[in-house]
Amino acid sequence: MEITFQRSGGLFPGLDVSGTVDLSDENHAVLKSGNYSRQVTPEDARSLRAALAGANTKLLSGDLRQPGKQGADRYQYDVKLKTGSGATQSFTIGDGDLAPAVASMPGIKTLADWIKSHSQDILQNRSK
Amino acid sequence: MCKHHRQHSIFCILPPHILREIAKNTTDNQQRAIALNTLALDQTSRTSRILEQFMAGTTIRPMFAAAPAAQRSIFTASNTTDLPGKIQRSEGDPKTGDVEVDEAYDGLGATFDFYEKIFQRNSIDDQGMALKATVHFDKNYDNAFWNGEQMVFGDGDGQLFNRFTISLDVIGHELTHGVTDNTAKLVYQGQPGALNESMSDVFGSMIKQFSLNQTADKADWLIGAGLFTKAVHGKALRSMKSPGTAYDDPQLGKDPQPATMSKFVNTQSDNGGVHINSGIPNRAFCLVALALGGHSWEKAGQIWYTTLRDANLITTSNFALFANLTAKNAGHLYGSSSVERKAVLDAWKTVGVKVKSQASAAAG
Repeated sequence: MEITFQRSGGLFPGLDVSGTVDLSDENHAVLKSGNYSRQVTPEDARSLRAALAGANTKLLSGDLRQPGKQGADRYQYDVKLKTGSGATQSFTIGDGDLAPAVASMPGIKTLADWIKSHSQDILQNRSK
Repeated sequence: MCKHHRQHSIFCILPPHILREIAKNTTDNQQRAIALNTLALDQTSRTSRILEQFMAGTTIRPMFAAAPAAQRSIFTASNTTDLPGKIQRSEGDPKTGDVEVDEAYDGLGATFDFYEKIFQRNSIDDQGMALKATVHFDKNYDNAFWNGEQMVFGDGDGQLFNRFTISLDVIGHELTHGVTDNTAKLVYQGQPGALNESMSDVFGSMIKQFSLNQTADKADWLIGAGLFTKAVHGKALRSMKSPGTAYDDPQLGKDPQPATMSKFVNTQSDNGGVHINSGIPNRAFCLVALALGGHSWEKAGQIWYTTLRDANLITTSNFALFANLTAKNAGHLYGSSSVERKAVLDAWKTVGVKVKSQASAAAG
C-alpha cells in the first residue's frame, strides 16, 4: 500500500509540496519528498493502514471536495492510493468540507488529516 | 442600493443621462461614485425591482439613518487550527499590543472604509455583515485564507515568510473573496477561479493605494509586499503590472504568472491555476488604471466593481465574458466613445483577451 500526495494552492502558489509513503512494512514505513525523508512511526503507519482498511476505497475517486464549502486561498491535495494488488485510486481533497458522499466514510478523516499535517511538516523541514 | 443607503435616494429617480452628467462633472468623489453605482444598476434587471420598491415607498432608508459602521472581531487560534479561536479585540477596543491582532483589526477597518466610501458598500454582504478574522493560525503557517465565513492569517515561518497580516492588500484580498461570494459567486476553478482571484488582487491593491492616497502611476501594483523575509529574492507574491516578475528565488522558484493569454497555464493544480492565470486580468486592470491616470478607484475601479455586480457575470464566466462586460460597463458609465472605454478595450487587447466589436460590446 502506497500513498502519494501533492499539495498545491494557497494564497502563494509557490509552496507546492509532494510526498510518498510506502506502508507495506508498517515497522519501516518512510515518508519521502525529494531529498527529504523521515521514518513514519509504527503507530502512525498502523493508523493509516487501519484508516484505509476501513474506507471504501472504490469511492475515493475524483474531486471529493464539497462545492461551495472550500472558501478561497486554501490548499488542494491530489492523492493517489496504490493498493497491494497494484490497483490505483486518484482523488482530490481540500481544507474545506468533504463531499457528502464520503464525508462520513470511516477512515477518510484520519487519512485527510495525516496528509494535511504531513504536507505542512514536509514544507517546514524542507525549507530548513 | 437605494434601499440601503440614504445617499442614493435622490439618484434613484434621476434619468441615466443626468446621472452620467453628474458622474462626469462633479468634483465630489463620493457623489460621482453614487451616481456611477446608480447608473450601473440601471443596466440590470434589478432596476425595475428597485423602482417598484421606491414607488411603493417602503424600502428607502430614512434620511437620517446611521452611517454604516464596521463590526470587527479579531480572534487568536493560539497556533492551533481551531476556528475562530479566542476573542482578542472587538469593535472599539483599544490596541492589544499583539501586532497580528492589531494589524488585522486596522486592515479590516481600512478595507471596510474603502468599500463604504468608494462604492457605498456596507461590508462583505452589503448588509453590514460582521467582520471576523483569526490570527496565529497553526504553527509557522505560510498562508492566509477565506473559509466562507471569516478571514484567517498565519504567522509565517519566519524563514521565508513574515506574518500574513503585514500587507494591507492581503487583508483586502481575503475580505474581497467574501464580497465576490456575495456578488458574482465566481466558481473557484479555472478561468472563473482566476477571475475570482484577480478580483481579490484588484480590490486589495486599490485598498492599499487608497490608504496611501496614491495615484495609479505612484502605486507599486504588488500583492504581498513585505511578506517575504530578507532571505527571499523577491519583491512580493505577485506583480499586477508585470506578472511573472515578482520573485525568482532558489527555494521558491520563479514567479509563474503569465502576462498574456498566449502564456496561459493549463494545470490541474491550484484549482486549475487560479493564482497563476489571475496575472492576465490583473494586468488588464492595471493597464486601464495607468491609462486613465489619477486614482485607480475613480474610474477603473468603478468599471470593475460595476462588472463584479453585473447580473450578466455568471458564476462560470471566463476571461472573454468578463472583458466584454467591462467594456460594456465602461460604455454605460462613461459613454461608448469615451477614453475610459477605449482604455478598457486597449488593455484587454494588450493581454490577448478578445472583446467583441465596439458596437456589439456597447450594446451588451
